[in-house]
Amino acid sequence: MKQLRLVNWLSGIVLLLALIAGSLLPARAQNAGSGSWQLSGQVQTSDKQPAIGAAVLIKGTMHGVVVDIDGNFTISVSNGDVLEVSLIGYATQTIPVGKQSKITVVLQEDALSLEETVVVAYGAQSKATITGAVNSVRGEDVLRSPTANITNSLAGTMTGLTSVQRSGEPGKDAATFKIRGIGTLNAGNESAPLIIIDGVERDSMEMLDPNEVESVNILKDASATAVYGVRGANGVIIVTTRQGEAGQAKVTFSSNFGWQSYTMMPQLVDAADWITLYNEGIDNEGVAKEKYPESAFIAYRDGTDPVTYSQTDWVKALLKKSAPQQQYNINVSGGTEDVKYFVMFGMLHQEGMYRDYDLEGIDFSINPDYKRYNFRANIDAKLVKGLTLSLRLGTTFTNGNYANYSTASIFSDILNSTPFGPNILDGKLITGYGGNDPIVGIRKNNSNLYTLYENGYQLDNTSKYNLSAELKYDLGFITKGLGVHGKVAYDDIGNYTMKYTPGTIPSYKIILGDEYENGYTLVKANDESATAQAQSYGTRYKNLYLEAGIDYARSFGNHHVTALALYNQRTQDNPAFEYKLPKALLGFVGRVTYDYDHRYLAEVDLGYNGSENFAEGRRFGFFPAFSLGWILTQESFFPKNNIVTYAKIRGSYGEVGNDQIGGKRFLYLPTKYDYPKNGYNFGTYGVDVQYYKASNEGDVGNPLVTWERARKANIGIDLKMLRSRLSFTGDLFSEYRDNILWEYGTVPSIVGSTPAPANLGKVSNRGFEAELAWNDRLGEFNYFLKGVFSFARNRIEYMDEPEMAYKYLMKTGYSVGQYKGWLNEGFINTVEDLENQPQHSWGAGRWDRGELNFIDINGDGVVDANDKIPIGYSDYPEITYGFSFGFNWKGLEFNALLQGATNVTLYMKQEAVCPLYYSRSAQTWHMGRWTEERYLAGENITYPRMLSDNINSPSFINPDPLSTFWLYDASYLRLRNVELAYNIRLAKLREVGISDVRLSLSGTNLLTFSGMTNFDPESPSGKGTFYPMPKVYNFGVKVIF
Amino acid sequence: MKTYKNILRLCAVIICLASLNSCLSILEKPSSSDVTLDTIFSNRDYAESALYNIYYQLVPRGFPYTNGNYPENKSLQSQTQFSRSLLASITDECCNYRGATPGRYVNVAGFDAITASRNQEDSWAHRWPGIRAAWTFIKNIDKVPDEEIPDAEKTQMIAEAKALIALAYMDMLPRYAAMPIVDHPLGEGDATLLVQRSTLKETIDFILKLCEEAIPDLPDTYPSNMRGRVTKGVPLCIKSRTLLYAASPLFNSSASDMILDYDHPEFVCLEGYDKERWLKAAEAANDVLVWASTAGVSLITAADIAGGETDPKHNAYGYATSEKDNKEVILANKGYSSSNNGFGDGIFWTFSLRGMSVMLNIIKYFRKADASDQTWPTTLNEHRPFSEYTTKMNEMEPRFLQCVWPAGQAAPNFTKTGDYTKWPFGKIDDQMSASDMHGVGPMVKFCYNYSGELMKDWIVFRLAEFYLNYAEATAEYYGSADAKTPTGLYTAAQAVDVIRTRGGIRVLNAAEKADFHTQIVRERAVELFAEGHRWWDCKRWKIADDTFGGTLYTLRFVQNVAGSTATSYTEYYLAEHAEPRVWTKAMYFYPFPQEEVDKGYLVQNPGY
Repeated sequence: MKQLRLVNWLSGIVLLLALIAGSLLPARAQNAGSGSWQLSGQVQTSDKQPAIGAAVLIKGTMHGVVVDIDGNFTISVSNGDVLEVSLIGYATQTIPVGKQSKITVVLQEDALSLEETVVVAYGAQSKATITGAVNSVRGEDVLRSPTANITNSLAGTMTGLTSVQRSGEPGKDAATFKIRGIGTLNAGNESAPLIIIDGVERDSMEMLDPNEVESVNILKDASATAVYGVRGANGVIIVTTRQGEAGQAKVTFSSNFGWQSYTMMPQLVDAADWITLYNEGIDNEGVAKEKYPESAFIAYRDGTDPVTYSQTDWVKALLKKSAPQQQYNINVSGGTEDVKYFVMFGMLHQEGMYRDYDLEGIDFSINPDYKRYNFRANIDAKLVKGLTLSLRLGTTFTNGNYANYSTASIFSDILNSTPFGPNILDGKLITGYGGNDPIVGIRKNNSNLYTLYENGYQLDNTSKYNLSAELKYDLGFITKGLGVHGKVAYDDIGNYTMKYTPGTIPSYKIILGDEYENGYTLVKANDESATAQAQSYGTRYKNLYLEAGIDYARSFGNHHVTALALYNQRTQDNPAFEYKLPKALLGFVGRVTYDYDHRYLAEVDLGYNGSENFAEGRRFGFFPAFSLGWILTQESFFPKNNIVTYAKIRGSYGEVGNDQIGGKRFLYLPTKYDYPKNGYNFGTYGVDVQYYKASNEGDVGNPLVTWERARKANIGIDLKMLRSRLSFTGDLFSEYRDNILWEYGTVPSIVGSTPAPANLGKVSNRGFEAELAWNDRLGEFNYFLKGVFSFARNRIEYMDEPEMAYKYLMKTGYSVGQYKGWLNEGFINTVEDLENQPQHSWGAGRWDRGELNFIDINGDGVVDANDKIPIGYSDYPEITYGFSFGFNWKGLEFNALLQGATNVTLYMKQEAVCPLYYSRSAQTWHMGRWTEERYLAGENITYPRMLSDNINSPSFINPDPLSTFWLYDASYLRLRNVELAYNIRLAKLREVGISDVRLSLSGTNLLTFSGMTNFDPESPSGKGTFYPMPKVYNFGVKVIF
Repeated sequence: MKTYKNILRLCAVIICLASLNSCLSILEKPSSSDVTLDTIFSNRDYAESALYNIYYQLVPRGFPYTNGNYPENKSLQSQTQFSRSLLASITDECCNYRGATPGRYVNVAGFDAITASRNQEDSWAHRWPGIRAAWTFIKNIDKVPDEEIPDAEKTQMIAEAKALIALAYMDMLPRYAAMPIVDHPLGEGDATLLVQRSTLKETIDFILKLCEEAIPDLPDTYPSNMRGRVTKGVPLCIKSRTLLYAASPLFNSSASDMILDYDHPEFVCLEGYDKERWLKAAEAANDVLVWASTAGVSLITAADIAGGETDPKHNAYGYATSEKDNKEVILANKGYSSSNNGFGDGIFWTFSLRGMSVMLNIIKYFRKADASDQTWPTTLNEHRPFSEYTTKMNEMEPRFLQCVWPAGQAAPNFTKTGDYTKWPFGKIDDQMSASDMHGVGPMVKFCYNYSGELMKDWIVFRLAEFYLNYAEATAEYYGSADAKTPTGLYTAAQAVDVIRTRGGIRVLNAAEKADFHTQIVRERAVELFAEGHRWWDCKRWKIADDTFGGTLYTLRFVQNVAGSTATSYTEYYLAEHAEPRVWTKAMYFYPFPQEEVDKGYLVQNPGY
């Protein structure tokens, strides 16, 4: 099966290559004309010295040479190539190859390379003189990660960005982002950053193909985000898609074939171990339950009678070892100076990890099977003098096949099943034994697979159109540097789901008996019925964005000024919104930057936004930010040296807002009544009883409600040292958010109504970030090392919370999402331990040796809810870091990214950690339970004493056993990405039109170092019922024509 | 040329400004059909919906909600995990079949102010939206034009609302004792929302005052299609039950008799014994009986049932406690809306997760059909033949078989057949092993003539209760079973005899009359079995330490397989300790949720 797929894939590639080559070759041959030739040249520094060590590279390839001691080089080029000439400490130059055979390149020192720009809100700024806190990652770096979903390629690449992936299910595996941690009371969507794609707010970036991305930028401080006003408080992620480059059409085809596996899954015990634990539990409880007979234990251990004593490892029964993933992308970039285009088609096919069975009566698959198709056409055209049109047309279609049974249920069933039963025998689904059970009176489970198949499957289709058109008009004829622009963007997003429930799935029971061949026969356990059902659901929603702006940029001697004024509005139309009415937001933006001699920098940003959530008069918020910068190295008094070549200090202060609270809308409206809401029956039963509608007071309005306001300060430093080989960026930030929209916590229940959210909360958030990078070259061996580190810690300053008996019980004063629970110190090991136990407010009569030892924090002699103290952290890490390194040498490239997180805690409960509850399984680490023998032998004890029904254990405190024992330190360090690639550029290939070939081997999450052994450290807190995180091995081919 | 440019610029500015104005309006909420307070009190339909909401919110219900089938507004019991259980499951009457059912949280953990939502039987928060809705209704009903609702009807509606507030307070009284008195919709104009607890006496007086105000404006009956609304009988019943609680030892005592030491005796007792409280209680109960005799409310007798008199099962009791809208019912909760109000869930529901079974402790209060006492096994873990169990069960009085389903035979009062005919053999839920079951049999009260329905009215007031209220209070006041109040219809003993006779048991003999209080305790345990009284009765009599704090006993049935083939069974039963339960003296009253106490308006009840 797997081999077949590989063959398909390979033949697919060959076919595609042939097609592309076939269609392009003639054109290519014509254009190429004379084919390739040798170009020689010299590279000098600005002081006319040979630029020793400079590299000359053909852009977009790894093909290049290093100049000799005199600065000379010779390189084989073909028409349309672009040379990239670089030397550390100097600005990289790009030179299109024309017909010339000899060139001279003069490199300028790049301590202040003003050409290098970075995308910011509503524009781009020079990286050298920017005063805000901004990070970026280039599309080509994103591509190094073989993840299916682009959101999973960003972890560890930028300071200030926390990325957490909570599921690995194909099509549902997007990471969630936070910028500089969480600054508000709500750890959900209300603290998620704003996502901007090509200048327009979009719901997510997960649908993008990594190949269409030019760069991903994050805006962190108020200076960078104030212009987003009421939506900018949580930071901004700006994705820019690729733009065509003038020149001959460059066709790039890439293909990746990967094998997905998973990082971690719980290891389940076998039937014999399960029996051991269960029987031991009955002994410990002293209850009159029936034990499994010793004979059963032996039979399961021997495994000599696999039908009578059959067992299943549910993890292995559901999950296979690996599943394929394929990606294809073809894009063409080119154009003239007047019209540039980038067009792309990408395809992803990702299969799920569920094992395929060939079963009687089942002709569908429940295995996730996800296909994504991306189309993009980005066109930039100069229409008439001064007028340019930019079109950004992106479209994504997805098709997914899934089980019609929730992922949570599938994984919950795995953990909630005893290991007994064959489940599948002779290609048939087995639901039990008929007549004589091998073990009578003990429960066995239904077949999980039966439940899974019985529910059928579903097809999810989505279509997303992200379209925008922008017209820019250069008003240079009025005054130099003045321009206006207008933009329209339209998003249309549709989801369509078909759910198919099959008729009866044939299932069988096993009848044991010596009279049958092999000692058993199978009889059908259910009646056929052909009542298959199909249900369909569809949703569609639309967003419209309009923007009009005027901008100005001009230099007057040493005075450099830019200005921007802009109006924008966004309307969203989604039937799922509260009131089913469209949603609107509008804003005005202003920005002025001033720069004296590239030495003293200043910027003022203004956002003025209105939100529908607030009453007229309170609807608009004004969000100013100021920032200053000073480039020390530009000062005449700063000695010219090679140690510090560039130093900038920058600082910003400003205010940004947030208007979201869940999905609630129009918070200012007067108290609403819900009618009809509930009801009551009157009348005489059987005669005239009738249901009468009732009405109920709904949310109480709050006319005073307004946006939450974040005050943010940032101080940063950018350094380039040792001739720019070493660079450092450090930022220190502090944020204080008040007016946080939150529910009242001190209104007594006796009022009997729910007051509308009010501007109640206050949260502070502080932290720092540092990035240190080293780039150098040893001959043709280029290498880099880079480390990023981010830390952010928040604190709830106020949240309208009643004063409690102990400060530590309150949320105020602690981090958002801080776990509170009991403190455990080991186990109750001895009789003395048991006698010295404090009282407990739960579990009367169940405390015994082997249970957890709970600490009576307040010393009142009772362990109760007053003893719950802050334990661990929250489930978003406070510290994230990444360390990447790589080299390239003669076409060989290597890149690796190690990424980690710490100060993070996960809380696993219920089936994730608690074994033996009715039909529940046990995991291998439960074998390390407390027993007297194991305690006396000094063995490592990993679990309290076993009960036959552990949910009754006082250690577990069903259903919420939040104590230190059940918390996991989810710190981890993982080999997030690794890539080894080889670039081939052969004259022979070029003769057939292929200029470059790149072969790569890469992987994601190949290694994970963590204290957690049963679940991946990025798991969602909870019951462990999620699709496991992927590990991917990938082989890729990229061909450039 | 220059003029043109200027005109163009002017145009541009005008267009900009004009469009700006229209732009700003996108932030206005487009008009949609929002309903506000003014809308509600503008016509009859809306105003009635506000009244019906009070019923929905405040009429108590004792049947659980199906798991996951909570009503939208999460009122009533659904805010606590107890929502899947019956009050009987935390008394010595019943227990839930299986371990993890919510009622069990109380049984294994008791009450806990801090994790109230999990452990408590009641949620402090859930009645207040209904009380607010009632006061809002009373305050605003006058706004409805007279041509929509005439004045007289408005007056009656206000009386219904007041009676429902009194009902909610009556429901909270034995749980929390003294409460904050909320007598208007709290909010605007109030100096503080933190209304402190009044004294217990003030709380009781507040309930009685609301009843007195409501009584004159309420009708004795409604047309058939409005059955279920508050009649004059409802505030009379509220008065009777409230005064019975007030007269009983728990409340009717001095500070020195408090269950636990407490700085605020005024919140949990009436600070001194007053015998006259029994007389008031007796008269209030008699008022109900007198009213009933004129309002068409009477006990169901065999004659009321088709084919009744000849029915050997004496169905009258089962009929009275199961059939919707029978003439014995004064008020029932009729608030179900979905296809399942959890009735089946709480009772037996095909023996799945959440059914109830009856404890050995409570069946000792039942008698044999000949009114003598049954002998139940006392030696624990002694294997006894299953046939003996069957014999004993079938010797019991008729009401017993309307409450308990003897294991291993068809349910006595079902018309539904099939899977329901045997227990536990043959049809054990495959999720449990035999050892998971406790009890002497499944509880089948409320299941008379059961044929699979999922919805039942929970009876709040049934006439039979007031015979027993009257008998108890009268005998306590006069010290004699043969006494009656000046206006009384019966002597205390006669009132009990009415109930016994209807139940199919002979009248009290002299010896029983002499030991009348014991008979009252016993009669209430039997007649009002599982109707949500015992939890309060044992507390008001201050005997809960014995009944709920003692050991619970159950029977267990074992079906052994001989050899490896499952064709022959040996069957036996045995008595054993049921699962131990938590009982503390603090549980005489419920804790206020700690978070509410932290808000600074409630003084916590003793022991929490």
